Amino acid sequence: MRTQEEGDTLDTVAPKGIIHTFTVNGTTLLADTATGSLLVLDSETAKITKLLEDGKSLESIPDSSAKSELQQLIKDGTILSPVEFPPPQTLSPKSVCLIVSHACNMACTYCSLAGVTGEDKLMRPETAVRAIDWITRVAPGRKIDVDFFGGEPLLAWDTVKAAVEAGERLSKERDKLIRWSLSTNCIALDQEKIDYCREHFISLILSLDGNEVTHDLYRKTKNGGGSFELASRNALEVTKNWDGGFYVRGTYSKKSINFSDSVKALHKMGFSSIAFEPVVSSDPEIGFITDDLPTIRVEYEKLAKYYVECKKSGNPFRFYHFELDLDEGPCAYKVAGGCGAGCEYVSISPDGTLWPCHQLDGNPRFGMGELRDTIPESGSEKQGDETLELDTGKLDVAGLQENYDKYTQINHISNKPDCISCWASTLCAGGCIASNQIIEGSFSKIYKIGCEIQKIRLEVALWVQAQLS
Amino acid sequence: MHIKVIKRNPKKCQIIDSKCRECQTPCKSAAKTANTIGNQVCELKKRETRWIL
Repeated sequence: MRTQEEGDTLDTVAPKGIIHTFTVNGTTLLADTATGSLLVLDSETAKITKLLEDGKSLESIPDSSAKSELQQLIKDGTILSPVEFPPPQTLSPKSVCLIVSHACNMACTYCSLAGVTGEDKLMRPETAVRAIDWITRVAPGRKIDVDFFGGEPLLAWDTVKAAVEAGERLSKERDKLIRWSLSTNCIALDQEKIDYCREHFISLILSLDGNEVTHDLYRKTKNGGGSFELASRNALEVTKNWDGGFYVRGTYSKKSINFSDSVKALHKMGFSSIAFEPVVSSDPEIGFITDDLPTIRVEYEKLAKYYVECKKSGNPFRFYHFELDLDEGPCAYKVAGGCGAGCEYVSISPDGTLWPCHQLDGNPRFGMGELRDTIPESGSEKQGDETLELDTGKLDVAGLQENYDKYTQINHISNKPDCISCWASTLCAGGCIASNQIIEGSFSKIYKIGCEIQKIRLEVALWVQAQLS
Repeated sequence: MHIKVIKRNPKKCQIIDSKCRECQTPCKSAAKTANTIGNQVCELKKRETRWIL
């Protein structure tokens, strides 16, 4: 709550973005950014909270029973408390995306890595082991996340296994817990690989975009045919013996904007954990524009109704973006720190080069350093504390730390002017900085359409919370 | 009643000063989805498991 200067009459004024009144599926709700409180409002109260959001003081609004209820919630601290974001911490990586393959056995027409996957380069097992050695040395805490990505990571299966086996050994020696994941198009996902992943706790991210027609729109085989039949058959094998540890991850685009149907189709096929993301693309044939937002809202609202119905009828499934956890969420440091690209999270390409994010893989402007395959000649490297000795290579630690510090600042919410007074800041943490860079040309310029879609699905997810409370 | 309280001050229950940084990066936590921390759970509060998903 902000008050006027001493001596003036105290007025209750809502700082910009501190509360947000919105309507989903006919229900009007209020979310409080700082306290996390969530209210369902009647129309009379919603009119008052809208006035507060527009800068009116509560005292300037005529007395009513609705106003009295609001005053009580303000008095007891349920709403209208200030947001205070903590300053940036010193961060270093604890999460790695190992791009073990630039090769792919498919030719998806919306692939974000299409520019680099043409190299058909695989990561050598030695490079992967070096990466695991490195992350288990530099990760500040106990928990480390490693994702195998591509291209298609299953094409570098020996590299995956070498990394996992090294990780299991090194994590014991160094008291770490490595949590693995692998993103696959499912084409090469045979029973041996499924069994290995389950045995070694490698969570699987299964790329399916919905039913056959939707999936095959973009997810093409090398000869231009559809991939749904084989991919879905292999993916369903995972669901037979796993009680968790996987997500179906779909992408929707302009041509598959009816994604609520896609999610329903996947649920009806038997998939119980589903995440769907809008494509990030400036191609008008694929990516979204402002005019698409009303349709996207309708799709999320339809999906939310289905999700709630399924939960209530005993046929639940997980939809990632609806699974808000308002009670056990991350701390203020985490919220303020953003996604962590370039500081807590790095990607490593097949040749051992470090990038701030998998989406920036191969962009020469953003290379951060490299895990070298060979020992440099004597005298060609910095020595002493600034160089990290690895089994067969050296890494410029001082140079990397400069990058971590730079990206820590870029990620921090105080450096995202569009976010600092946004109602969604404590749920979103400021968006994807790689998308900002790719679409808007700057890390600090918010990717507008992505931001709007994020806010829509957060509103709908909060509605889901209200329905299930 | 004009207002139904669904959640009251949940953020007050959160550990705001731990600085432990054991939490997952948001992009990692569910299949390379875009940044959303709202559906992450504080690592100090959840049961430890070897599965990330």
